Amino acid sequence: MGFSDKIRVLNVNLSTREITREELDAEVSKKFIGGRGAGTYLLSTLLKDDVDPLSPNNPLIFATGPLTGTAAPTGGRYMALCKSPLTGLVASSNSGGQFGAELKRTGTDIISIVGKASAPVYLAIDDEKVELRDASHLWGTDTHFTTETLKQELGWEKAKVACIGPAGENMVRFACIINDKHRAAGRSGVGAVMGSKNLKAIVVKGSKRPEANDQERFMEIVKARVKLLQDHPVTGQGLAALGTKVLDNIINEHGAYPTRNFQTGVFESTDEVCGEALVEKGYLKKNRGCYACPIKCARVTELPTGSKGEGPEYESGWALGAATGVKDLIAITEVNYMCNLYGLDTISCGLTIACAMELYEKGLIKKDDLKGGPAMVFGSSEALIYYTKQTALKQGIGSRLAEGSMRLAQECGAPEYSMTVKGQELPAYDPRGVQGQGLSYATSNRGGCHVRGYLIAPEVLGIPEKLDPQATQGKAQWVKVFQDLTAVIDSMGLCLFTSFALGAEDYLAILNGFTGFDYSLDEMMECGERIWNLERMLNMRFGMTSQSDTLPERLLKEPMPEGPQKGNTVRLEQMLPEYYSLRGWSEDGVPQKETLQRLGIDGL
Amino acid sequence: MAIKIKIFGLLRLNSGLKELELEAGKGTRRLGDILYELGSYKGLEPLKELASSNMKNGSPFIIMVDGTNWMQLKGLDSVVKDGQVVSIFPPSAGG
Repeated sequence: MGFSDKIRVLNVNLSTREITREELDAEVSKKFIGGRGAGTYLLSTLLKDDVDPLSPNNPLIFATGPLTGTAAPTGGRYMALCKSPLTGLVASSNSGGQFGAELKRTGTDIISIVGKASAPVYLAIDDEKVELRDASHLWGTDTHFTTETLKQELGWEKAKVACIGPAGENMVRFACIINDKHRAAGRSGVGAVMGSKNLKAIVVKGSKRPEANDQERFMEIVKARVKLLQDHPVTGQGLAALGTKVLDNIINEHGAYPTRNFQTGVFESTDEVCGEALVEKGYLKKNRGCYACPIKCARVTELPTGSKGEGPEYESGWALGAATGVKDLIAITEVNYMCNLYGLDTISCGLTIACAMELYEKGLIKKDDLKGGPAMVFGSSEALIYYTKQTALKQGIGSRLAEGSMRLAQECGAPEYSMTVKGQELPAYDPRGVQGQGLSYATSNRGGCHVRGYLIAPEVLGIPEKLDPQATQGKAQWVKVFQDLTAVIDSMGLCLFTSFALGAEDYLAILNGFTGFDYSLDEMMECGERIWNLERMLNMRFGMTSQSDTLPERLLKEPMPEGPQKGNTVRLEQMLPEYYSLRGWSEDGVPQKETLQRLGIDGL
Repeated sequence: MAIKIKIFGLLRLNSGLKELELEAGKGTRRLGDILYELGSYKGLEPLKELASSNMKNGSPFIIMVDGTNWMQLKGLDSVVKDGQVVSIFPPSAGG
């Protein structure tokens, strides 16, 4: 199957059961590349501004990039997009595994789903053949059971499945979509939107191999980049041996490992729960890679309890560990498995429970509120396990936790204990120790998030060069470039981890090599800038203002109490005006007309 | 008192060493000399190489003295005092 610059969209209306196909104008792929970019474009054309995220009118889009399903290293990524029930803004969640590549092999680039089925259904795609089938028998079942059952009942042994678990069905605001059992389009509640549509799963089976028009030349480009990844100490050795959890000790020693709901940046039990411990305790059985991945960072694990699965990764292990004060690696790993089975975002789940623990500590959640459940105290494995299940099933206080920490803390009259940006829980780096990351969090188009601009790379890890983490000068420019390049990588269909070894020129070679486009480096980066601005405009249509380009008060006003970052706060006010200016936005953070005209999105 | 060394990541897995203490001599030691000495342990050989490199383009190793990255100090010429903690990581990243 050769590359087409006309993005192939499969439209599914669950209310009318109508299934149609269309091709987007070639200009869309040239301007927005595909994946996250093209998905956001499509979302902007389909969405009414005031749509309730959990109503049938909220579209749910699965978007592959031009490189998804190709031989490009890590070329297996897809994005799930919609309006988020957690933030009320753009939801745009990326996942790896095999599903995205298989979707591409059916000959479809993007699935666009609207409406709501009258009873639970799943979507079965076998190349051109598309069918909506009854899923009543799967409603209420976990993601592993659903995945296995669907493959069996269709007789499609090699099919790939993306589905929701009970959390998505129950419309927990941070439910995720799980594909290939262990990979998650994790954040912003895309699973809740899938649940609101009565759509349990999508099963794909394809036979069309995507190839470049000049496949031989493309393979030369690919081989050279695979070698770069294999030869690099991080992508060739470190990530395979220790996975992302190699970071636990680094971030803790740096003093920015958020502990007990960001009350401090040093976790005294890191040694018990870190990536090294996962190996030394014998829980790690082997590593695994997603489609076409030479890095292979996934953790295949088994516990002394007999439980098996994948993970935890750094973010999940932190959210369920240090963030809640839990130091039992077995409990952390078990809850990680539970989140995958129920279909819960581990970051928001862990941090919402951490917020509840602080509210309990402060007496704002009372013992009676727990309805007989275990004391909601920091460090309690029992509480972590119990309330994760309650959240997924919306039982007891779980129905309040399922709303996310922002709504929970507001309801308790103490919004300051919700460690969120724009309503989404923050990930595993305390920005009081990493100033540029603070700016990146505050300006992220999907709220609290580390994968929109990973400033940890230069500020802590020294990639591509080491910056002073406490300097604010020049950080706005770094954040902008990282945000734009990340948007390009997400839109191509590649994994962000490639960027530890590859530079912008490598992505340009891969992108041009496959599509036959002739982007210059500036033009490619401008695609990223265009996507970033389109997301911003969409968020503003949803009612967002620059007031929400900020951080929780704790990070701006409470000095870090101990450790290497003692005394530090985030000096956001020193970076934000420069960031707006570099972006071509007004002092109020609104993209200027000239900026939108230059990017060719003033009419959208 | 002594200088406390903490070894992490692949260096820990390859050497089996987690923590050790080095004498501080006259109260301070050059970080490069510490790395050179550590490089004689099995599994920590890359540190000897690192100590002998010219560091022209920086280094992918992440080394902290009491939580401050050696690139914010003086690299191999950083001065480590008696009682300080040196944390050593091989090139690492995640997310």
